[in-house]
Amino acid sequence: MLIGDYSIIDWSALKCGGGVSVGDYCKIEKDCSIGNNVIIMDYVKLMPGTLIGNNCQLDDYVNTSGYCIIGNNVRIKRCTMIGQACKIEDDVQIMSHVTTCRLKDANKEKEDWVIIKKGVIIGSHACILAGVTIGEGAIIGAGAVVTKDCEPGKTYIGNPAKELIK
Amino acid sequence: MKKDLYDYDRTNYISSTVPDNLKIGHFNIIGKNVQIGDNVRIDNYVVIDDNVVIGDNVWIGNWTHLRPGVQIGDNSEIRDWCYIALNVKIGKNTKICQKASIGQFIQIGNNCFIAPGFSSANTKHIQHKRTILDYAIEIPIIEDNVRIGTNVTVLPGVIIRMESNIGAGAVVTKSTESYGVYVGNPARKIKEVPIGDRVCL
Repeated sequence: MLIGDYSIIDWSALKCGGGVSVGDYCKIEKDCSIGNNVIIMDYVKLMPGTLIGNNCQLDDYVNTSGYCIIGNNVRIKRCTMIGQACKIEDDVQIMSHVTTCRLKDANKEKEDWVIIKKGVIIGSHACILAGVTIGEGAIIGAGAVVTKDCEPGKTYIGNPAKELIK
Repeated sequence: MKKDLYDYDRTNYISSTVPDNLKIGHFNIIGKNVQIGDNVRIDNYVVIDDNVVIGDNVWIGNWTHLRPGVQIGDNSEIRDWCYIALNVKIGKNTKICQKASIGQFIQIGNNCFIAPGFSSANTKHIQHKRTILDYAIEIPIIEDNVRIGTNVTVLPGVIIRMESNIGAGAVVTKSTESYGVYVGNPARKIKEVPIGDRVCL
């Protein structure tokens, strides 16, 4: 395991696979689980209860809030904020500045899970609102605001996100 | 190979007097003449410049940068990676989530909620290496009890009035009305906040 400078890592109950590399100024909190061959770059923050699969890459400034599950071969680019209660399946690619939300209503504390299924590609600056399921192989355009469930294999763009009909 | 934070010099670079009950993490830099209230929590890697005023019970997250002259009211939270520019005033009980970039002189009221990825502009003339005296700056104002969704952008001179809600991904180009719910790019009013959900009538 390679660790950069000035990273703060809570070693209690950290499960870490082989070949993991962590960059500089990272903060990894308790109860995280990291699979094999995961690359974590600089300024990354992993909150308690983050589970990451094998062969993932998290770029600079990525932030995962607690209780999110990330599958295998997932690539998450810069400045993405994965909110609480988010499940990302295998082979997903997420571009920069994407955010996912956890609460449908700011006054209520009930969490709605965001589920991003296998092979989804999400463009940069997209927002995924609470309780949304994105179907297998769907593509979300840059800057889209996903308010409803997305069907598998289709492309969604715009604010609010609508299906792109060619 | 296990590298713990004890391997490093854990000193925070603090050049002003701080209260004893300050909860402070590691690798922080605090400038001169900074006033910090009681029970403040400062996480790691925070940079606080000179002449900053921080109220009681404030929480400042990791990697946050407070520029000179920032004022933060009591019970506010500023989370990770925020950039608060010169002379920004933030009210009481306000929560600003991750990666907010708040421009110079902006005033944020009390009891506001600002979701992750907020950004704001304060002049229509964008130029590299400009100073604040070069152009007329039009400062956005965020009034009390405002709720703002993720990745919202606020353009110069916009006033977000009391208790208006801005949906995720919106770009606010004009001043909003009180109690309005605004979504889209450019932001349009879709409805009013129901009377039952209003904090003040």
